[in-house]
Amino acid sequence: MVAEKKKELAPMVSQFLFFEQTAPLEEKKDYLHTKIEIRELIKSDFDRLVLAEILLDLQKDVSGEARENLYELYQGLGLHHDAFEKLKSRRWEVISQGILELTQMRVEESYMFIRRFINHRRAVVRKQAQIATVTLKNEGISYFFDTCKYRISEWQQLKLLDVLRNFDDFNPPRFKIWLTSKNKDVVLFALRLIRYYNQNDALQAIIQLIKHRNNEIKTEAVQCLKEFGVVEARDTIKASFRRSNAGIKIAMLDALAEFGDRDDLEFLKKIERSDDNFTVRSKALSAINTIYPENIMPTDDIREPSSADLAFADVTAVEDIAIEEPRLHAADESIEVNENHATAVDDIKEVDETMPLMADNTDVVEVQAEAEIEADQQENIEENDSHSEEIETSEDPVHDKATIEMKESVQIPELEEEDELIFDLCIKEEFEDILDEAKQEEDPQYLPLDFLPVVEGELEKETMNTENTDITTAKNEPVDEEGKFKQDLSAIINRLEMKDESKKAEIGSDIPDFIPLVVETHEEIEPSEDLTNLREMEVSVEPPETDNNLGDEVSDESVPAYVDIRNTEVIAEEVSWQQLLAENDIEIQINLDQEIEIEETKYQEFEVFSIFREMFRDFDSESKLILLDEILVVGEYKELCFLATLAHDKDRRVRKKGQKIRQELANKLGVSLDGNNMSGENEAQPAIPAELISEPETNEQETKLPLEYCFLEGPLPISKEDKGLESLNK
Amino acid sequence: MSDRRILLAEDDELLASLLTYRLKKAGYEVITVFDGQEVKDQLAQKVPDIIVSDIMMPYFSGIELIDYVRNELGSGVPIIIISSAGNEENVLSAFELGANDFIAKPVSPSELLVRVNRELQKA
Repeated sequence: MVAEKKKELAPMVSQFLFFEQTAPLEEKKDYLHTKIEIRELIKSDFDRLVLAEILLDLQKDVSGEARENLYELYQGLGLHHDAFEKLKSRRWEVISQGILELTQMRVEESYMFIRRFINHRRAVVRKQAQIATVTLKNEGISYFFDTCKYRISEWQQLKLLDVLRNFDDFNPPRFKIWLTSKNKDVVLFALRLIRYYNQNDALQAIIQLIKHRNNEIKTEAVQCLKEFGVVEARDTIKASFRRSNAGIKIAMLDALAEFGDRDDLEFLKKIERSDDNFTVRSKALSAINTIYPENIMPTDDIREPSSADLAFADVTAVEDIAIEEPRLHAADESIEVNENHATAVDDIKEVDETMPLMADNTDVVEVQAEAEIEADQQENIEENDSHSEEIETSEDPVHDKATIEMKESVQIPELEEEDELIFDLCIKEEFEDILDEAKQEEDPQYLPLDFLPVVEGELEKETMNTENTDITTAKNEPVDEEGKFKQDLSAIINRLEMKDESKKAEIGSDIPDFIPLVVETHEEIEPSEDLTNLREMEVSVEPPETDNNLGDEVSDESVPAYVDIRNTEVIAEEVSWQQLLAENDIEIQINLDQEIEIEETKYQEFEVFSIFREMFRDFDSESKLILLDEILVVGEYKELCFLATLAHDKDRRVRKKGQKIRQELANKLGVSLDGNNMSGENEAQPAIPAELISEPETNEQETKLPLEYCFLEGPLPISKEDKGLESLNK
Repeated sequence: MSDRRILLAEDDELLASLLTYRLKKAGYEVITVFDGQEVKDQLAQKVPDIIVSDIMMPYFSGIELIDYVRNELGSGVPIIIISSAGNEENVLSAFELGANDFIAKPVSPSELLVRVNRELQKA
């Protein structure tokens, strides 16, 4: 009903809104006709209600001239009389609705009627009236401040401020006159408006408000003074500081940081030292640094540079020395005292750090450098003294005190420490020279690289290289690494030669770190189902067939004294220890008989790591099936081992095809899956050990070893009686 | 000017009525629709000379309308977007998608008329 009436009345309203006196006669006739029609309509209360609703809705969506026309139409049709009637109601919600309507339609004549509701006992009416009073007339804000007895909520303050902001021609009153109001919220709101309208003609009153008991007023006053940069407020702020809460203290410190000067440093330092609140202390520190940048330097968790750091810094220092030196000798006297202190100390350090490099070549340079250090230190000390004198003669006692404290805090490094440092670095240089000479003797093509920039990694390598000489170095870590390497190497060899059962049981736990890296990598990867299956597989360990006692013959003594330790990194990345032997050219000084050589060959060939294993870990079944065909084309012995593991694949097709490809690959390679060479042509070609090509046995009495480690074991006796093989071959 | 056709899409019927009246009074043929579906129907029949659309509409927002007109219909018809003040993100999106102009609510009908005239002159 209402919607239909709205549809009916809306075009008529539009016609009224956009009627122009200059319109054609026809349009004027229409307008008059509509006017008469509306006059008749508004005789009905319902129609009046709907019409008022239309106008109230539209005034929200339109602006400009159309909105002004709406206001006129509203009053022209006498709809505001209904709103006035609402103000007389005894129900607060009707009064509130009437106030809202009159406010929205800007009925200025309602101002006098509405403003008496400013202190209404109902908060809704009161707030509505406050907004109406401020909205309808410019002087409404003054009346509101004068008469408001109730609290003014933050939200209400924001809404009132929004009204004031949207006035086109608002001339704000001097809000300072309400700073003495008995209503604390009026004072607070007035302070905020003073700040908003930049009315800085009431500074003394605002300074007084710093001492106000109300924390909000206090905070607002401080913020106001901070914004206006009222330097005169510093003493009052400091005086009121102790009795303020943390929030106000922070605001006060912010203000002091804004307009404070060095006279306030003592106060701020006191706060920084003594206040209970961490944030306040931090703020005080921040304020100190704002007023006086870098007055307080970081002291906590500062790590002193080690001799290695200094040596590293030498390289850059020597490059910069030409630039740095003039600065050292041309200290600007106008620089602040503290900066001079800092610069002096820095300069001394810089010179000291450059010293060893300057002394690289000749003693003469070294002597000169020492002389320069002394001279510079003396010069800096003299400069500091001269500045101290300036401070002493200055009239500012606060400055003096601060400077004295700062002087105390600055410590010039003792010369003894510097001497020790220089001595250490010289020794290091000497060692490097000796090493170079030794290297040159060993290798005529060796080129000393000390002319290159030294980087940390190279330093380490250099230290490692000293292993090749008889020189005793201060650091003994490389020696330990060599020992560790030897131990690891012998452990591998022993592992290969282990025969007795007791040693086999230890295999899992005593493998050198770098050997089963593939296994470790597997552990880091999120285990796939295939991998889990693989891990569960165990091979039975039988005593090796051969009597080759590799462990006895390949002992620590057989490892040459010189082993390039640098290659341990390579070892860690590789799986095969055989690659290590090849890359390092280890010359085993013992005569290995033919059986041992064959045994070594076996180990190389028995290495079960197959590239396809990695692929199969992540691939889906379809991809696996395709890959199996590729294995048949490019596969080798180790793939036979890998294919055996596919018997546990979760996909039946993969299992089936895996075994088929395995058989075909064995045929192609001329290998019998039962351990015999099918062709019989090449007798030296070893048969594939059964533990690699057969499915895992489940003999629980035997010691089990993860499949990944099986290459560490010797060939195992395989017989045709092996049930697993038989079943597999079938 | 009377041969120019404006498609006005605004879900607030009172405002739509007011704007339609103003635009018609200026001599334009105005087709007023109140939701996105009606917009689509109208566009399927005939693409107007200019589209004035609110951003927030049922079924089919003003942003979607621009995307539909520019990308699916492939039309370069001028589009003026009406949006609440402060709805910056939507306005930027509208311009990115190809809106020609934007007018904030509360709308001044006279201002809208000027913008429509300008866009039609450009086109």
